[in-house]
Amino acid sequence: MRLLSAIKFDIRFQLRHGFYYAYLLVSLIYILLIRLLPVSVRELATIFVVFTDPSVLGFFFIGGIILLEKGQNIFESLFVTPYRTWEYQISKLASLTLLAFSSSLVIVLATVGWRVNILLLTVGILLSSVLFTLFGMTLAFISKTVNDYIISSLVYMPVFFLPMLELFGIYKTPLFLLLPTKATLLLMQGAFSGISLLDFLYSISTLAVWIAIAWIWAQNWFHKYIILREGGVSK
Amino acid sequence: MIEVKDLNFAYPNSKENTLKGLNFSIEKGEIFGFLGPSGAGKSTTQKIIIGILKNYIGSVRVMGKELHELKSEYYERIGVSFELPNLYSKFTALENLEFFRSLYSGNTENPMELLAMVGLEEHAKMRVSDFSKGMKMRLNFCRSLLNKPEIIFLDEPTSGLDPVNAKKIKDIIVQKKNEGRTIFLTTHNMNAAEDLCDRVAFIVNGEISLIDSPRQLMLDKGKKTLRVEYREKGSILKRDFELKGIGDNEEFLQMIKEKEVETMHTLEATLEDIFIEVTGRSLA
Amino acid sequence: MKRAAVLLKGDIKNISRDPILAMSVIAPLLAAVGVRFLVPFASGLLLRELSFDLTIYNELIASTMLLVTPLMIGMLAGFIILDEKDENLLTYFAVTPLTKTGYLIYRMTFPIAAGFIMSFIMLEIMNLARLSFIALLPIMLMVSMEAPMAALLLGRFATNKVEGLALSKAIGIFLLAPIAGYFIKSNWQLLAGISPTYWVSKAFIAGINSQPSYWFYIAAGLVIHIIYIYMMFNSFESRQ
Repeated sequence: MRLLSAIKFDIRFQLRHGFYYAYLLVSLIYILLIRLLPVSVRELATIFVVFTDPSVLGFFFIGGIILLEKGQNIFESLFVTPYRTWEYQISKLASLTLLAFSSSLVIVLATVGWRVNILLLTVGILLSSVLFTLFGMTLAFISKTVNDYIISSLVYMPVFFLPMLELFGIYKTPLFLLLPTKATLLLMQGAFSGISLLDFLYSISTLAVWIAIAWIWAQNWFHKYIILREGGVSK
Repeated sequence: MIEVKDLNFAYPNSKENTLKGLNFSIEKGEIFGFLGPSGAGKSTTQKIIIGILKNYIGSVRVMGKELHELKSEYYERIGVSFELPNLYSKFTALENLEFFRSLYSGNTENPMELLAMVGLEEHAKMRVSDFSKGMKMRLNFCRSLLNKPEIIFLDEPTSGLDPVNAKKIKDIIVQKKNEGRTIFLTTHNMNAAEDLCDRVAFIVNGEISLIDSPRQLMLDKGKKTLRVEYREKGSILKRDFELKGIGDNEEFLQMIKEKEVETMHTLEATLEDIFIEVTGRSLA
Repeated sequence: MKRAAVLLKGDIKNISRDPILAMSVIAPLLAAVGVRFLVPFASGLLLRELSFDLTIYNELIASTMLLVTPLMIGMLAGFIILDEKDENLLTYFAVTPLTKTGYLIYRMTFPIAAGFIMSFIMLEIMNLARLSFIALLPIMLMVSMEAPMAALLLGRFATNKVEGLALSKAIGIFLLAPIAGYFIKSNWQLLAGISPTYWVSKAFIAGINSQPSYWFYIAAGLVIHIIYIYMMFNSFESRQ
């Protein structure tokens, strides 16, 4: 099956470019550090780490992948085969989310163990990873270089991390409810200390709406900035 | 196989039409050359026919169906090779082909056989990043044949190749034609076009100025003259003779009998000359 | 000089075309301003609500922030090198009178200078910990070496930008070394000394508390930094 084979190839691509080694190392270091902390704050530290790193790693890596494929003219050869852009997107989302999930799970299990609702945690990580990978895709389509990409992400990514202020009890506002990251945090916290049905429904639907918008946006720019410009210069 | 009628196209945000009323048709089993300088509209036309650019005006029928009606299944039946090699550099030649092969659900070629055809079988397990430009070009060419396509689109298939490998590629193209495949060749290399194409179209500024077979063009446009070069008293001299009635031309007969002839050529025009004559533009 | 001028002209053109290099200066400044206002605010809050004193970590926060800037600038420079590698510009520079050494020195000059100057400014803005200029100077020397180290790591070990990203993820771990050095009380913390950033932070904190170990950390840190730079530089030169 085409999609399956594409996902398999993407995973091999990521292996070959060292993604898995990098995250093995990163995860180990995180585990080491968290285990040095007093037991009382380990949970909080684990949520913080998973939320800020593996659950959004797709954003970080997809930029490089797309810029590389742009540079090596891969797109033009991909889409003159039956392979469609939506399959490409799904394959990238699936493969990077697998890495995000594996790394998160290893960190959580090695720091706080099984005292966690794996299902809720999984939902939180998956949705967050899919959303941020889509964000990254959209941005990568219009970026020229990796530096371009990193710098522009520095401009608007911090906004999404604002709900962390709430996690640490520094600042609270209902406005955070508009951000998908607030929903992710609710799910992840819920995985440790339980979640109300209302919060759960809110989180799922917020993330779903954000993902839908991001998907359509990415599709649009995919066509506009990549497909239309394939196969040589067009004015 | 391909029928284009009154094809017009303008890129968004551009005032002028890139394609201005193209008309041509390509038969099954034909090698059709699309010749023109860069910026003439060659790749735009190709992009329309392979379904990447969608908002064109006019009619493009491929394999009996209007392009709008063709679904992604269309890509099972065409093969495209772009001018710049486009492959995953961290993967081997074989891995690249295996991946692209897996994207097709129909009948496919064996990648190793394709590699052998272009003389790359020994490099199958080598990473593409270690390939030379010519090797990448050949691998790229292989990729376009993976799905046994009915129509093959080739953009400058011999550019960057040494004569031996260019010949290999040309032979394969002819072999594909003999198997009944249709080939759409975009190039500004007149020699390749002369050798391969059944018919060529000259395109300049989004318009086709002429469609004919290279052989016919060369006969029509060439001067009907024979040039004889001969040696006399240590220097080389030349004389031109009308081809018409050359068998009765006493002067000519006497010359080939008595002089030390070095070369004899009819003065056909090259495709390049004809292109310049017809379009007023050079190809470079 | 003239050759460097040509390269510089290209870079200035790049700045005007996209504000990357400018951003690498502005972003740390913004981060410093953020720390200046956020940390006291958070400290007050945590003390009131949880009776948790964050201020005791001021030195650690300051020294870690100090390292963020050069590492980030270094990575940006590293990605420029990778781009130039991708476009075969590197091979081109190597056969011009600039030579590869010249190219590398040029490429490293901006990150070193920017890391050095920006660190001073950041310390001033953050206002978390103060150190005399003389005591700060050797620390700054080390800090400014972090940037070329990150850049050379990327340029040397990544073959393209995707690998560069994976590698920069790993480089980010250097930032955790100071934290390990601070919290791990046993001698195991010396393991973190593999990362040069450990020594910067250690020296900084020792300097603030006027501990004699300051001199040990400075000496060891400088040696380690110089060894790393020397190894990276040589290996980059011979490998490409």
